[in-house]
Amino acid sequence: MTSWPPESGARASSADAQGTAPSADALRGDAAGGAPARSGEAVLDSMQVQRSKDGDAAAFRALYERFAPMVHGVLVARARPQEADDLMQDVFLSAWRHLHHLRSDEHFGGWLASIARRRVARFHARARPPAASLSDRADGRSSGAAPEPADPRAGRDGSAEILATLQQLPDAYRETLAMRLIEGLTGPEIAAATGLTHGSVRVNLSRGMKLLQERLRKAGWP
Amino acid sequence: MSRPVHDDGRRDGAERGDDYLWDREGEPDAEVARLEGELARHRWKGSAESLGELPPAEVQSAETSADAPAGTPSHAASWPPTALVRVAGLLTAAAMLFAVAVWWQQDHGAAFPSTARPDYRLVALEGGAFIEKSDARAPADGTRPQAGERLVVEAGARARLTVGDIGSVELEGGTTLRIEDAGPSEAEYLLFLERGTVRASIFAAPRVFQVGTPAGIAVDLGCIYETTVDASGDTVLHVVSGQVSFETAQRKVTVPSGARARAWPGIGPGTPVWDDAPDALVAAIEKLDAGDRDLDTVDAALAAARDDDSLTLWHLLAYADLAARDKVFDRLVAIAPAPNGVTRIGILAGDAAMMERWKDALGWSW
Repeated sequence: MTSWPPESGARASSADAQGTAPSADALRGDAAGGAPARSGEAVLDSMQVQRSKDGDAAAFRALYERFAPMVHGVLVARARPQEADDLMQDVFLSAWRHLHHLRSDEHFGGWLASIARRRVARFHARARPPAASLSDRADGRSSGAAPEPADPRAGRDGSAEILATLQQLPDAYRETLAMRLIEGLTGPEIAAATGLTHGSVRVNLSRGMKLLQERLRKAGWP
Repeated sequence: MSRPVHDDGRRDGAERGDDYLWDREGEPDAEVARLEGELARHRWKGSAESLGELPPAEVQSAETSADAPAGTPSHAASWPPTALVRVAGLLTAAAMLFAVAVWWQQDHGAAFPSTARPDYRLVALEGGAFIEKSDARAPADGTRPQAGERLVVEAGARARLTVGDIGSVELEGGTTLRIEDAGPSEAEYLLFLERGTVRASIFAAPRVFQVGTPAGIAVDLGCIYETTVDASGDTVLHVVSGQVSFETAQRKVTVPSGARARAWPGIGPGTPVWDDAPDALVAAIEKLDAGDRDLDTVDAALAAARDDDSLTLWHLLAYADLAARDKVFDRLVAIAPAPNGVTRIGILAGDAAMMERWKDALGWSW
């Protein structure tokens, strides 16, 4: 049995009221400075991960059903919707093949998200012509960003314009907002799937939403 | 000075739109709703079926003989004679074990746990109850829900889920409960309460029936209890009869009849208190569970605790602060002397065996 409680204010947001981005510890769901207690859902997920490691395909399909919206959120925050759809199978098949590399079953969600980020980055690296890559670097874009985000004023349909603007937000904001606004997950569901603390997810949603609204207004949205 | 923070990280004075953004509760924020409407068309609509037939996982292929001679039709054909002898021995032993098992079952009947699939049946008592799977929803009255399905009871409605022949669970309005595949775990019946309130009346061997919540798993030890999960996943467990073990991998608390415990996602179960615990004790415990490390708060809890509150005090022995544990030890030992072999040093060091021994000695009054 571990000592109790994990840390003063552990139930509170890990980011201060007026502060900036949540700490790295908070993003790892480790606001206590020690190992956070696992939720009941996480314990059940771990059971399914263990069974999947033993080769139980049905258990892995159950994990798919549970984590697919989160993974798609990570992908669609960085790629066009059709590309994100195409990458879904790759991400999960890669996870299935390499599941034995996962050391902590309770970190399955975060591990899966990192596979998705790597997979979409590799997709862009292969798809992008060298010249475009140099151009991107000159523009100061990060390598993990969507390669050619649409210009919100380029006359596309509203949905594409909003998505392109969302894809230009910082990683933590665009992923969390994609899970909430596109996939329809609630804040608590995002926290459970990613391993982030509730406070971190709330901060990402709130600040990301403000930033998205500002940029849409600048782009001429009412 | 920062504003007070709610359990889910929300601060007083937070904009109402933030609540909708957080969990779609309350009045929809017009801007958020508009963006949801625009972006929903990009939502993932696939299912696990799109994975097709999964190839053998690497862990399985590692077990196969990578250097088997080309053209070898099967493992068995390439096994050495000694391996065949071992396999034959194992098969013989398994057959003998099976025979003994059959004989034992005939003699002892129910001594063996049931291997049948968990049998549930849902009955709508008032209003509508539905089963959801893969975004499809169907009326659920009289149906037998399966693993992976969600039971949704509308606000103002009520439903009952019978659990094999060991009891039933009543679902209040606004409840969403998921049927889980227990797999090869100790539980035979495994549910997950996503939101709402259920009242479980179970009469079975300990740990056969378990209810997961976002904040911890309620493991039935033969009892009647009520569990409520709110929109943030915060959970309250109240036991009416018997005992429940409220668990996460890091912490396990015992909640006997007439007691309750709260729990929070990412944190786990807090300290159990009796229903009639003094208000001052409950207030102090809430502060300590929230992370207050002030020794004055510990003193307030100890001053308010009655001799009957050994349940709460024993759980406080796991409190993080050593000086606090020392104080709790003194208060607890005044109520019930530590059993032989249980020492202050051991308890302060968190010796699990000593903790359990003392709990056993105290537990008769719980």
